[in-house]
Amino acid sequence: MRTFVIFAIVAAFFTVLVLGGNYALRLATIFAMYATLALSWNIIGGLAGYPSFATAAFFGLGTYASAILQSSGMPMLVAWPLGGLIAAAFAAVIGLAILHLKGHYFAIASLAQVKCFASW
Amino acid sequence: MIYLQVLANGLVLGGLYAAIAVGFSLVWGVLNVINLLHGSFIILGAYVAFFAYALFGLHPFLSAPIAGFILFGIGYSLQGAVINRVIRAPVLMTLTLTFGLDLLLNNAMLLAFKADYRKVVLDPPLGSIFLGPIVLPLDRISVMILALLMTYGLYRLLRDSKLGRAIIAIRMDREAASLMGVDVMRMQAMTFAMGAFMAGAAGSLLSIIYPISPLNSIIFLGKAFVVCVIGGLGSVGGAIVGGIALGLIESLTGLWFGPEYAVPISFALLVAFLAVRPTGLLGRRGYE
Repeated sequence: MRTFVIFAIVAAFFTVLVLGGNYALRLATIFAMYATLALSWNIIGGLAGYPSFATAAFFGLGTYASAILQSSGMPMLVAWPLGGLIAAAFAAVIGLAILHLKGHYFAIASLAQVKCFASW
Repeated sequence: MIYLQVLANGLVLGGLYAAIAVGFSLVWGVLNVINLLHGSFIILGAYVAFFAYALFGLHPFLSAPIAGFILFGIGYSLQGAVINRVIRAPVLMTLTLTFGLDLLLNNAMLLAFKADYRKVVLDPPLGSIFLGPIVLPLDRISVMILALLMTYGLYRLLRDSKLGRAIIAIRMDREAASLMGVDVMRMQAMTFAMGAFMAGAAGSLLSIIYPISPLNSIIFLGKAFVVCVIGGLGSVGGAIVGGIALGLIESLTGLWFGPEYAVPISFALLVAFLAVRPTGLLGRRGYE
Protein backbone atom coordinates (compact mmCIF):
# COMPACT_ATOMS: atom_id res chain seq x y z
CA MET A 1 0.00 0.00 0.00
CA ARG A 2 2.70 2.42 1.01
CA THR A 3 4.85 1.74 -2.07
CA PHE A 4 1.76 2.02 -4.22
CA VAL A 5 0.91 5.47 -2.83
CA ILE A 6 4.48 6.68 -3.26
CA PHE A 7 4.54 5.31 -6.79
CA ALA A 8 1.23 7.01 -7.61
CA ILE A 9 2.44 10.35 -6.27
CA VAL A 10 5.71 10.17 -8.21
CA ALA A 11 3.86 9.12 -11.36
CA ALA A 12 1.35 11.96 -10.95
CA PHE A 13 4.20 14.41 -10.39
CA PHE A 14 5.95 13.52 -13.64
CA THR A 15 2.72 13.27 -15.63
CA VAL A 16 1.71 16.80 -14.60
CA LEU A 17 5.24 18.06 -15.20
CA VAL A 18 5.46 16.62 -18.70
CA LEU A 19 1.89 16.60 -19.98
CA GLY A 20 0.03 19.15 -17.83
CA GLY A 21 -0.91 22.57 -19.12
CA ASN A 22 -0.94 25.71 -16.98
CA TYR A 23 -4.26 24.86 -15.40
CA ALA A 24 -3.33 21.30 -14.39
CA LEU A 25 -0.01 22.53 -13.06
CA ARG A 26 -1.68 25.18 -10.95
CA LEU A 27 -4.24 22.72 -9.66
CA ALA A 28 -1.51 20.22 -8.77
CA THR A 29 0.44 22.95 -6.96
CA ILE A 30 -2.61 23.80 -4.90
CA PHE A 31 -3.19 20.10 -4.08
CA ALA A 32 0.36 19.80 -2.82
CA MET A 33 0.18 23.07 -0.93
CA TYR A 34 -3.06 22.15 0.85
CA ALA A 35 -1.70 18.71 1.69
CA THR A 36 1.28 20.36 3.38
CA LEU A 37 -1.03 22.80 5.13
CA ALA A 38 -3.11 19.89 6.45
CA LEU A 39 0.07 18.20 7.71
CA SER A 40 0.96 21.44 9.47
CA TRP A 41 -2.40 21.50 11.26
CA ASN A 42 -2.05 17.82 12.09
CA ILE A 43 0.99 18.57 14.25
CA ILE A 44 -0.86 20.94 16.56
CA GLY A 45 -4.42 19.64 16.16
CA GLY A 46 -3.86 15.93 15.70
CA LEU A 47 -0.66 15.04 17.54
CA ALA A 48 -0.76 17.69 20.27
CA GLY A 49 -4.56 17.75 20.49
CA TYR A 50 -5.10 21.51 20.58
CA PRO A 51 -8.17 22.91 18.78
CA SER A 52 -6.03 25.39 16.87
CA PHE A 53 -7.20 27.91 14.32
CA ALA A 54 -3.94 29.79 14.07
CA THR A 55 -2.52 27.75 11.19
CA ALA A 56 -4.06 30.11 8.64
CA ALA A 57 -2.25 33.03 10.28
CA PHE A 58 1.12 31.26 10.03
CA PHE A 59 0.33 30.34 6.42
CA GLY A 60 -0.35 33.99 5.63
CA LEU A 61 2.72 35.17 7.52
CA GLY A 62 4.94 32.75 5.56
CA THR A 63 3.40 33.89 2.29
CA TYR A 64 3.94 37.55 3.03
CA ALA A 65 7.43 37.07 4.44
CA SER A 66 8.73 35.13 1.48
CA ALA A 67 6.97 37.40 -1.02
CA ILE A 68 8.51 40.49 0.55
CA LEU A 69 11.93 38.83 0.68
CA GLN A 70 11.67 37.84 -2.98
CA SER A 71 10.56 41.26 -4.11
CA SER A 72 13.56 42.75 -2.32
CA GLY A 73 15.83 40.60 -4.49
CA MET A 74 16.37 37.37 -2.55
CA PRO A 75 16.43 34.20 -4.67
CA MET A 76 13.24 32.17 -4.47
CA LEU A 77 14.76 29.00 -3.06
CA VAL A 78 16.26 30.94 -0.12
CA ALA A 79 13.12 32.98 0.47
CA TRP A 80 10.91 29.90 0.86
CA PRO A 81 12.60 28.32 3.87
CA LEU A 82 13.20 31.78 5.35
CA GLY A 83 9.46 32.50 5.12
CA GLY A 84 8.84 29.24 6.98
CA LEU A 85 11.43 30.09 9.62
CA ILE A 86 9.92 33.53 10.22
CA ALA A 87 6.46 31.99 10.66
CA ALA A 88 7.95 29.36 12.99
CA ALA A 89 9.69 32.00 15.10
CA PHE A 90 6.46 33.94 15.41
CA ALA A 91 4.53 30.77 16.24
CA ALA A 92 7.05 29.95 18.98
CA VAL A 93 6.49 33.33 20.65
CA ILE A 94 2.70 33.04 20.37
CA GLY A 95 2.83 29.46 21.58
CA LEU A 96 4.67 30.49 24.74
CA ALA A 97 1.86 32.93 25.45
CA ILE A 98 -1.21 30.81 24.72
CA LEU A 99 -0.35 27.10 24.85
CA HIS A 100 -1.13 26.95 28.57
CA LEU A 101 -4.77 27.78 27.80
CA LYS A 102 -7.24 24.92 27.56
CA GLY A 103 -10.16 24.02 25.31
CA HIS A 104 -12.36 26.90 24.25
CA TYR A 105 -9.97 29.51 25.52
CA PHE A 106 -7.15 28.19 23.37
CA ALA A 107 -9.47 28.05 20.36
CA ILE A 108 -10.46 31.69 20.83
CA ALA A 109 -6.87 32.82 21.38
CA SER A 110 -5.70 31.05 18.23
CA LEU A 111 -8.62 32.45 16.23
CA ALA A 112 -7.59 35.89 17.45
CA GLN A 113 -4.22 35.45 15.71
CA VAL A 114 -5.95 34.94 12.38
CA LYS A 115 -8.17 37.98 12.87
CA CYS A 116 -5.24 40.11 13.94
CA PHE A 117 -3.39 39.28 10.74
CA ALA A 118 -6.37 39.43 8.43
CA SER A 119 -7.30 42.89 9.60
CA TRP A 120 -3.82 44.38 9.67
CA MET B 1 -12.03 68.39 25.23
CA ILE B 2 -11.64 65.83 22.47
CA TYR B 3 -11.37 63.19 25.19
CA LEU B 4 -14.91 63.93 26.35
CA GLN B 5 -16.16 63.32 22.81
CA VAL B 6 -14.11 60.12 22.47
CA LEU B 7 -15.40 58.94 25.84
CA ALA B 8 -18.99 59.61 24.77
CA ASN B 9 -18.44 57.76 21.46
CA GLY B 10 -16.95 54.81 23.29
CA LEU B 11 -19.80 54.57 25.78
CA VAL B 12 -22.40 54.79 23.04
CA LEU B 13 -20.73 52.03 21.01
CA GLY B 14 -20.29 49.99 24.19
CA GLY B 15 -24.01 49.62 24.76
CA LEU B 16 -24.46 48.10 21.33
CA TYR B 17 -21.43 45.84 21.76
CA ALA B 18 -22.89 44.53 24.99
CA ALA B 19 -26.08 43.50 23.17
CA ILE B 20 -24.01 41.89 20.38
CA ALA B 21 -21.98 39.87 22.84
CA VAL B 22 -24.53 38.88 25.47
CA GLY B 23 -26.17 36.18 23.35
CA PHE B 24 -22.78 34.78 22.40
CA SER B 25 -21.76 34.80 26.04
CA LEU B 26 -24.97 33.03 27.09
CA VAL B 27 -24.41 30.20 24.58
CA TRP B 28 -20.75 29.85 25.50
CA GLY B 29 -21.39 30.01 29.23
CA VAL B 30 -24.37 27.64 29.41
CA LEU B 31 -23.88 25.25 26.50
CA ASN B 32 -20.09 25.39 26.35
CA VAL B 33 -20.37 25.94 22.60
CA ILE B 34 -18.46 28.66 20.77
CA ASN B 35 -21.14 29.77 18.37
CA LEU B 36 -19.32 30.84 15.22
CA LEU B 37 -22.72 31.47 13.64
CA HIS B 38 -23.26 34.50 15.85
CA GLY B 39 -21.88 37.02 13.34
CA SER B 40 -24.07 35.68 10.55
CA PHE B 41 -27.10 35.76 12.87
CA ILE B 42 -26.44 39.45 13.49
CA ILE B 43 -26.16 40.17 9.77
CA LEU B 44 -29.33 38.20 9.04
CA GLY B 45 -31.16 40.30 11.64
CA ALA B 46 -29.82 43.43 9.95
CA TYR B 47 -31.13 42.22 6.58
CA VAL B 48 -34.57 41.64 8.11
CA ALA B 49 -34.53 45.26 9.24
CA PHE B 50 -33.25 46.43 5.87
CA PHE B 51 -35.98 44.70 3.87
CA ALA B 52 -38.69 45.56 6.38
CA TYR B 53 -37.75 49.22 5.95
CA ALA B 54 -37.28 49.08 2.18
CA LEU B 55 -40.46 47.13 1.43
CA PHE B 56 -42.90 48.10 4.20
CA GLY B 57 -41.34 51.25 5.64
CA LEU B 58 -41.12 49.57 9.02
CA HIS B 59 -38.71 51.38 11.35
CA PRO B 60 -35.72 49.18 12.37
CA PHE B 61 -36.56 49.75 16.04
CA LEU B 62 -39.96 48.12 15.39
CA SER B 63 -38.59 45.30 13.26
CA ALA B 64 -35.99 44.39 15.92
CA PRO B 65 -38.37 42.00 17.76
CA ILE B 66 -39.48 40.50 14.43
CA ALA B 67 -35.87 39.87 13.43
CA GLY B 68 -35.29 38.50 16.91
CA PHE B 69 -38.13 35.99 16.64
CA ILE B 70 -37.12 34.87 13.14
CA LEU B 71 -33.62 34.18 14.44
CA PHE B 72 -35.13 32.58 17.55
CA GLY B 73 -36.84 30.02 15.31
CA ILE B 74 -33.69 29.37 13.31
CA GLY B 75 -31.63 29.03 16.47
CA TYR B 76 -34.13 26.68 18.14
CA SER B 77 -34.26 24.34 15.16
CA LEU B 78 -30.47 24.37 14.66
CA GLN B 79 -29.74 23.49 18.27
CA GLY B 80 -32.58 21.01 18.50
CA ALA B 81 -31.84 19.21 15.24
CA VAL B 82 -28.06 19.42 14.92
CA ILE B 83 -25.95 20.90 17.71
CA ASN B 84 -27.65 18.95 20.54
CA ARG B 85 -26.32 15.76 18.98
CA VAL B 86 -22.68 16.66 19.55
CA ILE B 87 -22.97 19.00 22.51
CA ARG B 88 -20.95 16.79 24.84
CA ALA B 89 -18.25 16.02 22.27
CA PRO B 90 -14.81 17.68 22.57
CA VAL B 91 -14.46 21.39 21.77
CA LEU B 92 -13.10 20.81 18.29
CA MET B 93 -16.28 18.99 17.26
CA THR B 94 -18.75 21.73 18.23
CA LEU B 95 -16.41 24.40 16.88
CA THR B 96 -16.09 22.67 13.53
CA LEU B 97 -19.85 22.14 13.42
CA THR B 98 -20.72 25.79 14.04
CA PHE B 99 -17.93 26.79 11.65
CA GLY B 100 -19.45 24.63 8.91
CA LEU B 101 -22.98 25.87 9.64
CA ASP B 102 -21.66 29.42 9.47
CA LEU B 103 -20.10 28.76 6.05
CA LEU B 104 -23.48 27.47 4.86
CA LEU B 105 -25.51 30.36 6.25
CA ASN B 106 -23.02 33.02 5.21
CA ASN B 107 -22.74 31.76 1.64
CA ALA B 108 -26.50 31.37 1.41
CA MET B 109 -26.78 35.03 2.40
CA LEU B 110 -24.15 35.99 -0.18
CA LEU B 111 -26.20 34.15 -2.77
CA ALA B 112 -29.49 35.70 -1.71
CA PHE B 113 -28.45 39.27 -0.84
CA LYS B 114 -25.17 39.72 -2.81
CA ALA B 115 -22.03 41.13 -1.22
CA ASP B 116 -23.02 44.77 -1.81
CA TYR B 117 -22.88 47.00 1.22
CA ARG B 118 -26.30 48.31 2.15
CA LYS B 119 -27.53 50.53 4.90
CA VAL B 120 -30.86 51.61 6.30
CA VAL B 121 -31.02 55.35 5.62
CA LEU B 122 -33.73 56.79 7.80
CA ASP B 123 -35.92 59.42 6.22
CA PRO B 124 -36.07 61.89 7.90
CA PRO B 125 -32.74 61.35 9.76
CA LEU B 126 -32.84 61.50 13.54
CA GLY B 127 -30.26 64.28 13.79
CA SER B 128 -27.93 65.00 16.70
CA ILE B 129 -28.02 66.68 20.06
CA PHE B 130 -25.29 68.99 21.31
CA LEU B 131 -24.23 68.89 24.94
CA GLY B 132 -21.84 71.83 25.12
CA PRO B 133 -18.88 70.74 22.98
CA ILE B 134 -20.01 67.10 22.66
CA VAL B 135 -22.00 65.97 19.64
CA LEU B 136 -24.26 62.97 20.21
CA PRO B 137 -25.93 61.49 17.12
CA LEU B 138 -29.48 60.60 18.16
CA ASP B 139 -29.60 57.37 16.14
CA ARG B 140 -26.58 56.01 18.02
CA ILE B 141 -27.93 57.14 21.39
CA SER B 142 -31.29 55.47 20.81
CA VAL B 143 -29.58 52.29 19.58
CA MET B 144 -27.47 52.26 22.74
CA ILE B 145 -30.49 52.72 24.99
CA LEU B 146 -32.53 50.05 23.24
CA ALA B 147 -29.58 47.63 23.21
CA LEU B 148 -29.02 48.11 26.94
CA LEU B 149 -32.75 47.68 27.61
CA MET B 150 -32.72 44.43 25.64
CA THR B 151 -29.70 43.22 27.58
CA TYR B 152 -31.40 44.12 30.85
CA GLY B 153 -34.50 42.26 29.66
CA LEU B 154 -32.44 39.12 29.12
CA TYR B 155 -30.95 39.53 32.58
CA ARG B 156 -34.39 39.76 34.20
CA LEU B 157 -35.58 36.78 32.19
CA LEU B 158 -32.65 34.72 33.44
CA ARG B 159 -33.11 35.92 37.01
CA ASP B 160 -36.85 35.82 37.45
CA SER B 161 -38.52 33.39 35.05
CA LYS B 162 -38.83 29.66 35.46
CA LEU B 163 -37.24 29.29 32.04
CA GLY B 164 -34.27 31.41 33.08
CA ARG B 165 -33.79 29.49 36.32
CA ALA B 166 -33.85 26.20 34.39
CA ILE B 167 -31.16 27.51 32.05
CA ILE B 168 -28.98 28.60 34.96
CA ALA B 169 -29.53 25.19 36.56
CA ILE B 170 -28.16 23.48 33.44
CA ARG B 171 -25.21 25.85 33.50
CA MET B 172 -24.48 24.91 37.12
CA ASP B 173 -24.96 21.16 36.90
CA ARG B 174 -26.42 19.35 33.93
CA GLU B 175 -27.08 16.03 35.65
CA ALA B 176 -28.66 17.57 38.73
CA ALA B 177 -30.85 19.80 36.56
CA SER B 178 -32.12 16.84 34.61
CA LEU B 179 -32.83 14.97 37.88
CA MET B 180 -34.91 17.95 39.03
CA GLY B 181 -37.16 17.53 36.01
CA VAL B 182 -35.57 20.02 33.64
CA ASP B 183 -35.88 18.92 30.01
CA VAL B 184 -32.19 19.49 29.26
CA MET B 185 -32.33 19.08 25.49
CA ARG B 186 -35.27 21.46 25.13
CA MET B 187 -33.71 24.02 27.47
CA GLN B 188 -30.47 23.87 25.51
CA ALA B 189 -32.41 24.62 22.34
CA MET B 190 -34.13 27.52 24.19
CA THR B 191 -30.74 28.86 25.31
CA PHE B 192 -29.31 28.77 21.82
CA ALA B 193 -32.50 30.33 20.46
CA MET B 194 -32.30 33.16 23.00
CA GLY B 195 -28.71 33.82 21.95
CA ALA B 196 -29.89 33.95 18.34
CA PHE B 197 -32.76 36.27 19.33
CA MET B 198 -30.32 38.73 20.89
CA ALA B 199 -28.11 38.55 17.78
CA GLY B 200 -31.02 39.16 15.42
CA ALA B 201 -32.44 42.05 17.42
CA ALA B 202 -29.02 43.65 17.87
CA GLY B 203 -28.37 43.23 14.15
CA SER B 204 -31.65 44.95 13.41
CA LEU B 205 -30.70 47.88 15.64
CA LEU B 206 -27.23 48.28 14.18
CA SER B 207 -28.57 48.36 10.62
CA ILE B 208 -29.08 52.12 10.98
CA ILE B 209 -25.45 52.70 12.06
CA TYR B 210 -23.34 50.19 10.15
CA PRO B 211 -23.27 49.14 6.50
CA ILE B 212 -24.63 45.59 6.10
CA SER B 213 -23.04 42.83 4.04
CA PRO B 214 -22.55 39.10 4.66
CA LEU B 215 -18.82 39.84 4.48
CA ASN B 216 -19.16 41.89 7.68
CA SER B 217 -20.37 39.01 9.83
CA ILE B 218 -16.82 38.09 10.87
CA ILE B 219 -16.28 41.62 12.24
CA PHE B 220 -19.21 41.31 14.65
CA LEU B 221 -18.22 37.78 15.63
CA GLY B 222 -14.76 39.10 16.47
CA LYS B 223 -16.24 41.86 18.60
CA ALA B 224 -18.30 39.27 20.49
CA PHE B 225 -15.10 37.31 21.25
CA VAL B 226 -13.28 40.36 22.56
CA VAL B 227 -16.21 41.56 24.68
CA CYS B 228 -16.69 38.13 26.27
CA VAL B 229 -13.05 37.61 27.11
CA ILE B 230 -12.37 41.15 28.36
CA GLY B 231 -15.58 41.45 30.38
CA GLY B 232 -15.72 37.93 31.73
CA LEU B 233 -17.45 34.98 30.21
CA GLY B 234 -20.95 33.80 30.81
CA SER B 235 -22.59 36.68 32.66
CA VAL B 236 -24.74 39.59 31.57
CA GLY B 237 -22.68 41.97 33.70
CA GLY B 238 -19.52 40.75 32.02
CA ALA B 239 -20.97 41.45 28.59
CA ILE B 240 -21.91 45.00 29.58
CA VAL B 241 -18.53 45.75 31.18
CA GLY B 242 -16.70 44.16 28.24
CA GLY B 243 -18.88 45.97 25.71
CA ILE B 244 -18.18 49.35 27.23
CA ALA B 245 -14.47 48.48 27.58
CA LEU B 246 -14.28 47.52 23.90
CA GLY B 247 -16.15 50.68 22.87
CA LEU B 248 -13.66 52.81 24.81
CA ILE B 249 -10.65 50.83 23.54
CA GLU B 250 -11.78 51.26 19.94
CA SER B 251 -12.38 54.99 20.22
CA LEU B 252 -9.14 55.61 22.11
CA THR B 253 -6.95 53.60 19.70
CA GLY B 254 -8.76 55.39 16.89
CA LEU B 255 -7.71 58.69 18.39
CA TRP B 256 -4.14 57.68 19.27
CA PHE B 257 -3.06 55.40 16.43
CA GLY B 258 -5.77 55.64 13.76
CA PRO B 259 -8.91 53.55 13.28
CA GLU B 260 -7.13 50.84 11.23
CA TYR B 261 -5.35 49.74 14.42
CA ALA B 262 -8.55 49.29 16.44
CA VAL B 263 -9.04 45.63 15.51
CA PRO B 264 -5.42 44.39 15.87
CA ILE B 265 -5.10 46.17 19.22
CA SER B 266 -8.39 44.82 20.54
CA PHE B 267 -7.33 41.29 19.59
CA ALA B 268 -3.88 41.77 21.11
CA LEU B 269 -5.70 42.80 24.29
CA LEU B 270 -7.86 39.67 24.04
CA VAL B 271 -4.76 37.47 23.95
CA ALA B 272 -3.21 39.43 26.80
CA PHE B 273 -6.36 38.97 28.88
CA LEU B 274 -6.43 35.25 28.14
CA ALA B 275 -2.81 34.95 29.19
CA VAL B 276 -3.00 37.06 32.35
CA ARG B 277 -6.61 37.14 33.52
CA PRO B 278 -8.78 34.59 31.70
CA THR B 279 -11.79 35.33 33.90
CA GLY B 280 -12.01 38.87 32.52
CA LEU B 281 -12.52 42.19 34.26
CA LEU B 282 -15.39 40.99 36.43
CA GLY B 283 -13.34 38.00 37.46
CA ARG B 284 -16.01 35.43 38.18
CA ARG B 285 -17.58 32.80 36.04
CA GLY B 286 -21.22 32.04 35.45
CA TYR B 287 -24.66 33.41 36.25
CA GLU B 288 -26.05 33.59 39.73
